[in-house]
Amino acid sequence: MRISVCCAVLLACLAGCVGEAAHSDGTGEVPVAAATSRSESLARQGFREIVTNAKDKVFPAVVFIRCLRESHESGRKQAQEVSGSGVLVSSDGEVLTNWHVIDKAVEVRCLLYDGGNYDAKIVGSDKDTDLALLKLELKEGAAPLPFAELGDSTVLQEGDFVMAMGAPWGLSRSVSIGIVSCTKRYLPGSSEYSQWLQTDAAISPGNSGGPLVNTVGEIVGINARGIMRGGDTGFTIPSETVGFVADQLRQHGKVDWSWTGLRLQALRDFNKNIYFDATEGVIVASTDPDSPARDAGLETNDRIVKINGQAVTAENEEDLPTLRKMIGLLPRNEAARIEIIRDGAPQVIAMTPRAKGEVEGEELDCPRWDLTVKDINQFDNPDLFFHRKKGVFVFGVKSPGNASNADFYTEDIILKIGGKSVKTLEEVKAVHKEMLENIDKKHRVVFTILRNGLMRQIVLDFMRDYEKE
Amino acid sequence: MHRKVLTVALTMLLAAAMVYGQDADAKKTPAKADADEPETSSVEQKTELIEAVMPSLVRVETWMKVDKGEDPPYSSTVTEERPHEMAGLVLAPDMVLTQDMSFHPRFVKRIVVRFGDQTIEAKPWAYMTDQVALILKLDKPLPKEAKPLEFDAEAEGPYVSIPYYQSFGVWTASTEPISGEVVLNEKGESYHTVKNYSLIVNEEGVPAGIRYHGRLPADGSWRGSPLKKPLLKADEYEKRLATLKTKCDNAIVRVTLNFRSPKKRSSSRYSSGSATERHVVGAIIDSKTVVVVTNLSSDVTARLEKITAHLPGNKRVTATFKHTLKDWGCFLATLDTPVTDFVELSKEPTTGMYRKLLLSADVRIQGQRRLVYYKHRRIHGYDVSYKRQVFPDISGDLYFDLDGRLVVMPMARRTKGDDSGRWGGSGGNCLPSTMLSEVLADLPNNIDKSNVPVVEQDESRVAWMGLILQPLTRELAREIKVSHLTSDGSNGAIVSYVYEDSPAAAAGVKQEWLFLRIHVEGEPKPMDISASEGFTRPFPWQAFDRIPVEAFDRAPTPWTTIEDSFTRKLTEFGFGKKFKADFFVDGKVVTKDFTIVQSPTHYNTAAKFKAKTLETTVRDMTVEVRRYFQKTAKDPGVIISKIEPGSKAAVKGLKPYEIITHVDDEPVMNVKDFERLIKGKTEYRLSILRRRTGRTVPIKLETAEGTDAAPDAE
Repeated sequence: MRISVCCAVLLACLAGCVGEAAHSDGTGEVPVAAATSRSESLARQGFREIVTNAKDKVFPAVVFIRCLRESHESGRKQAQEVSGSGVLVSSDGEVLTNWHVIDKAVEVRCLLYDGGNYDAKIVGSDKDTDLALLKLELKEGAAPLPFAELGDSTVLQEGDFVMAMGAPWGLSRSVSIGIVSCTKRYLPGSSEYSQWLQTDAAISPGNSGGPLVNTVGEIVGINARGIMRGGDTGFTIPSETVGFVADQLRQHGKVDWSWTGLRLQALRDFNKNIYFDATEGVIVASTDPDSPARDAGLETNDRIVKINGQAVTAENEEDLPTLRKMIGLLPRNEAARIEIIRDGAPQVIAMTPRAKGEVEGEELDCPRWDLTVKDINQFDNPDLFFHRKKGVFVFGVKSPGNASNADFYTEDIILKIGGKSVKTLEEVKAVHKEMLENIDKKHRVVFTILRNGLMRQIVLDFMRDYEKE
Repeated sequence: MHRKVLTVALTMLLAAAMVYGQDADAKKTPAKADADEPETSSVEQKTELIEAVMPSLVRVETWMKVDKGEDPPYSSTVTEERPHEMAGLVLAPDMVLTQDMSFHPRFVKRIVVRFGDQTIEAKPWAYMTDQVALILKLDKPLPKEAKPLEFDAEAEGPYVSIPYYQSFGVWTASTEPISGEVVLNEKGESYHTVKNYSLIVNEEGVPAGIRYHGRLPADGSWRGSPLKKPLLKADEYEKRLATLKTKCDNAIVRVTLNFRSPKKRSSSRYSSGSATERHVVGAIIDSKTVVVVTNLSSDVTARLEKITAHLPGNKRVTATFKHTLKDWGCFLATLDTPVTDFVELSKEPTTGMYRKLLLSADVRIQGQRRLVYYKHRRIHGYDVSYKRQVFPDISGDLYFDLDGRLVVMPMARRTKGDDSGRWGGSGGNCLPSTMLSEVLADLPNNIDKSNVPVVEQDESRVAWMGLILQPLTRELAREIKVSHLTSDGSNGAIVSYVYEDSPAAAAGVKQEWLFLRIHVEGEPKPMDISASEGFTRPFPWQAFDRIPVEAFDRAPTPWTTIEDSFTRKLTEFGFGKKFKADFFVDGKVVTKDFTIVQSPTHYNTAAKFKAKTLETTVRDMTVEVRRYFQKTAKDPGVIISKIEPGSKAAVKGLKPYEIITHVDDEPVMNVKDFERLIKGKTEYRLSILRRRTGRTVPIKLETAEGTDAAPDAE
């Protein structure tokens, strides 16, 4: 998904652009990035120079990132190396990148433009927006590093030239050029708070976390994903979101989203030929069980028109992330004033958002059983949460391995091991430890699991050592 | 196919027995000679005996052929370019007696009789009715060296039997003693046992008779020339076959069964049970009763709508279903127009027909064609089977006596939940006419009241206990220490779930109990629980939006269905029957009493309503659907079961298995509510739940629902 385009296409595209602009001349000075003056300056300047200048401003700030991550997905704890890109946003070594680049990283190394390399620590990350902030571990009194500045993504228009920078495929830095294809791309099923910039500048694997740069050399987004088949379709987190999230990460190490359990629906959906008879507001699609929204008495079909006095409207799906972000930022444990229209009559409802808390459960490797387990998390595993609010489920099944032989599937909720009920990773860990210590006496155990909402029993025989060299 | 394998096996067995006999003789004779001096002289005597009959022994060579793609018996002789060989006895210069193999003429290319180097063409001339023998007429007399046997019925014993056979490729005759030992059975029959298919001479070498029957009556009635025994001449035989053919054309007929289309049920969609038309054999046994030979399970019979018997001359007579026989793979139907031609049922028990000449009809219904081959057959053995009754070993043919009365017909024994092919199950299953007559005389005790056609609404009814089961495995059985109770985990199931208000819940059955078996009243054998489990992976909800609406018809439902192999079998036993269920709980077997009851309405039987304007069918949320979605009976909702591709609802993103909870904020408790709430409206809002996630879908129509005709059924 995050991968795209191939190197050759990228280079060819770049070569084409350069060739076209070769004969023009320009002032060599980069004007300020005012929306009105941009087109004028473009007209005055030679295209090549614009590109070069913008590139030169940001290129030194592009960082190649290599991480050692620990993953449990394959059914055991496994270290793998992943790489991505990032961009320096301060002289003291703050690097912006994607959350998915540094997710579960135990070691982060950054290679700078000048060849300097540093270890970095993760200041904070936010899975919802796919952003992370790193800090290079600089020596005392180290010289200030080159960095790029965040620009304003809200003024971007479709057709504006942009450049994607990064270290694709683990190669040295590169730049590709394209235009903004869409400024308000809504991707259902991905981040609920993000609206994306879509560009046709090539975003390749390894480009993830690199900056999208405007013609004046400012960061207007952090590249996040390409489409494998889509060719010229890359998606970028706009700097508007990036700036806000980076501040949060800097302060709290995470984005403290508020949670209301409110699910929203836009007033119009062309694809599904759905139109509500209203021009303002947003429809309550449903409310999550045991959520602030449900507790407050909000109901399906209510039309929210104002929140804390501020008018809210989602005409189309694309407007939803902004609204969600706004709601996600409501102060916690403080009643928000929600004005709704129910059955044609206005009503006011007080809703008190709560902290969203962890959005992902902890993971645990169970060697010899050849499976990994994870805590059920309301946001990460709503299907499992539906059956068990608290519990542990099979996250990865190693193949070949003992759990795989016993027919374990991922997302099996573990209710009991050997007749003993387990609800937390700690409990699983303790049982696992005890079983492995006594493997000479007993090497089979009955798991009681919940699959598809139905109880099952499975025998796990863990005598065989699949890790044997 | 089976028959062929059987005959080959039989031949091999016979050969082996003969070889064994040879060896035994070889060992025995010298040993005897050593021990008993006077016997030595009898060796010469016996050799002389054989030498004396040698000129009366010939070989009958039958050249087999393939007929219209069907292999003959002993088909290997065709590819090996050799005849099937048997011994023959010369009765007259142009008359040879040989074993009756009951070959159909269509498989016989030619029959020749070999005497030394000479061969002479021959044809059947007469069939012996009490011996497994037929007499061949030769095209020309045998050479003078051949000596016709001159039988003397008065020839005094003791006797010796002289079989003639091929041993290691060499034609061989031997002398076999006929001991004075007698076998006496409870019917008062007494006989000697001796090697079969042999000539019997006395010690002077005078032929006394033949033994082409299993038994040699002790009273000596076997003595005398075969030509003086009961015979059916070939021309008379042909006449009787022709009469039988006429009779069968009228009374052993093709019956077409028409069934209502089965409901979409992914579980049995591709099984043979889903056919809407079947052509089977029907035997008309009196002016109005036809025995329809097909072993239908109750869910198939449930859909039976029309029965048509095809009489000669393209005449069709419809018939009405009467009863399914409890123990036999057939049902009785009454012809709507009485007929004059039918087959009479023989009143003779088949046990008295051992090796007697019988006529047979090999009836095949091949789609709309009926194909019958007539010939003769004999019963070569019996088995004691069901309820101590004695059944003849027969092939797949219908057997008739020489007067055309039906003696026995092939028929599957009905086992619960079984639905087999043309003649049903394993070979040798048959229904002798005498037993059929007994069944007909006592119908109330011989019919299965649960195996009947029913109206469409009742078709999917199924019995239940209210359990969802997880089949045991070997590993699980061993680990939870129940392998001794479950044939090492090959049967038994763990209770995964107990439905509220179900028979199981009432009986106190709990989750995690081990369900072992049930004992149904009147059934001779307990039924082990062998729950079958299809697809256990979760439904692909994460890819839900990508599933095209038409694919839902084929895909299994997300929930565990009430109808499964276990409840299906339970249904087969019949509603109202009592049974005991064994569970294994806390180290001991606990038995609970149950009655087979119908399940509450389930997804397949749920009330439904098709909104014509939306081209959407909804159903009531039944118990298993509610369990899956964790809804109580008080939660509103009807479940979408079908969306027409390209319909308004499909465009609006509605999908099967989504739940409509409200129309314009009015709760929808059932399909009647839904029908009422959308009736006459052109604009309304539907509240939709996809599992737990809700949304609102406003609907705007040009014509209101329910304004023209009544809604169609799905």
